[in-house]
Amino acid sequence: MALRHLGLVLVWAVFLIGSIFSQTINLLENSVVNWNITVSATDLSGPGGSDFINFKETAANFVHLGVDVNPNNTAWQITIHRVDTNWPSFLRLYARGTLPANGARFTWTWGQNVYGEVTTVAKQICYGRRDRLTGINIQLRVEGISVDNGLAIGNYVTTIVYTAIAPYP
Amino acid sequence: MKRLALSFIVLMSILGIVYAANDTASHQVTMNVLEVVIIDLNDTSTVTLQTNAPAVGGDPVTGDTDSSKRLQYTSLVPAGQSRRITANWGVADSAPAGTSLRVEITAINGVAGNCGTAAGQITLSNVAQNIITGIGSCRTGTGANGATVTYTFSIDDVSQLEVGDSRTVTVTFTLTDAS
Repeated sequence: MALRHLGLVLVWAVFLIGSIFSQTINLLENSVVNWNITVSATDLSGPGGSDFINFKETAANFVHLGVDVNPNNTAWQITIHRVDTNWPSFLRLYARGTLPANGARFTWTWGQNVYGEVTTVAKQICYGRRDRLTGINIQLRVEGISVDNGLAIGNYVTTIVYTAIAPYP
Repeated sequence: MKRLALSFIVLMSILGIVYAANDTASHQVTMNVLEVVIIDLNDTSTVTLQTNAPAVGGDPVTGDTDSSKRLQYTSLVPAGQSRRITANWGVADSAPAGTSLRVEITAINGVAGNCGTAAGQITLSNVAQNIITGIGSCRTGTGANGATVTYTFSIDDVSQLEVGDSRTVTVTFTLTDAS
């Protein structure tokens, strides 16, 4: 009987502690807008017979994220991946952080200004430990724009997903 | 008691997973690839063709040929469609009496895609005629690549030739949708 009571107390304690120590994290979408790219004759690298300039790039602060995590000092990470609607394999999508990281509170996984490929598998792009942080600026780049790759007229669509997770690890 | 402590640890571990928080944001990337129809010549300098006297009396007078020009083009076509290249000269242009100017694509060196098929030799006039057909999405490349344009100055009726009869014509090549 006493053991049964102890079990109930234990369950109660677990949920009490859980509610006290549960974390919340909000991804602050300071700028997360669609990137619409047009490829036309003006993108050729030269006169007739030439190929397209191989890549397109956004502004350095095209995506501007922040995190708001509770409780304070909780370790967090942001992952990035893409979900394809109609995205050919020859088009490669890359992302990089462009603002200086902030020591132990905020670090770019691939380094500042170093592009990492965005695939359909989530990859960590940055991590940190702070209650509220902005300035997670991300630049995007698409490579592989080439007649040689079989580029055809049409619309190619993918969705980039940013996920903030706490705690980390 | 030991089992209880172990259960507590396991529960706390599960709790850590259960209470892990996440939040997502997303946006689309859309690439819209438009039609491309671009054609150039590797070199637009004037080609000079003339008649040549035979080495042996009684043999025919011949005309020059020239294969120094390359047509270089980049084409992106909608699915199921193709393009062609036509050649013509100006409305007021003509060849010297007794001659004609013929043009033919003698080689197509493309880098990627379907750069079409040569349509054979034509006699230039002010009416556009096909010189390459069946062009899909492709690029010929630049430099030494492209479709080789061979001009032939043809002597059709030697009796009409007049010494000093010289004409300058402007040849136009057009990359256009297949009709």
